[in-house]
Amino acid sequence: MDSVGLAGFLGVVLLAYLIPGPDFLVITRAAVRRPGLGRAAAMGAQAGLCAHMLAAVLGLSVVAARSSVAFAAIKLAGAAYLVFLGVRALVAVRRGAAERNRRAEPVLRGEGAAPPCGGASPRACSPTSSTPRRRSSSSVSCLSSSTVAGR
Amino acid sequence: MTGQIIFLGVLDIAVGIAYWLVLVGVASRLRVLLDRPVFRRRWEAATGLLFVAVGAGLVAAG
Repeated sequence: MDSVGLAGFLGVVLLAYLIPGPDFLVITRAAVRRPGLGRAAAMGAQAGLCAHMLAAVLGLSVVAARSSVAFAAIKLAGAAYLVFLGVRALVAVRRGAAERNRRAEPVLRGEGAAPPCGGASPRACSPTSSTPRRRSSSSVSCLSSSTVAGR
Repeated sequence: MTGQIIFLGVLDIAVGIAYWLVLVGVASRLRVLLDRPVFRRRWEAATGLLFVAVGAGLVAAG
């Protein structure tokens, strides 16, 4: 292959990599979690490409392309795997949202709220809750009760 | 012919490895931004929907 052909090939390869596809999303997602995981995902994507190249060298790609049954089977398997990955990601998002709602529920119901401020000492009314909303409301009620007690 | 396919294949894979490693480096530098719960949730949802759409598109095209 001459240098012009090689440069053209490299240009096409680079362009193909620069256009984001499923592999781009998988690798970026993994890299955000952990750089090592991202590198592993990248190597996995390239290992798949190696298998594809090997199939091309052995002539299996031509056989698969000519046999409509084999081609359809490979395509359906790939599509099923993509749908599996997509559903798994969506389920993870939904599970995360459910987990967040479950954590927020006791706060919304007011469970574990600070005891009423009926004591003589304002310190007895000190907020014990970790949530800012409850802390502010109990501190307001403590302030008002201490003010009343002061009068 | 086979030798040429192997050469081009190896070249393709080498370019890919270099590109992905750069991408991983960029993504890990932007980790503080990309790892925010809101961004991550949206990213996961977009990825999931895109994968399902691409898979469905492949089946529909066949």
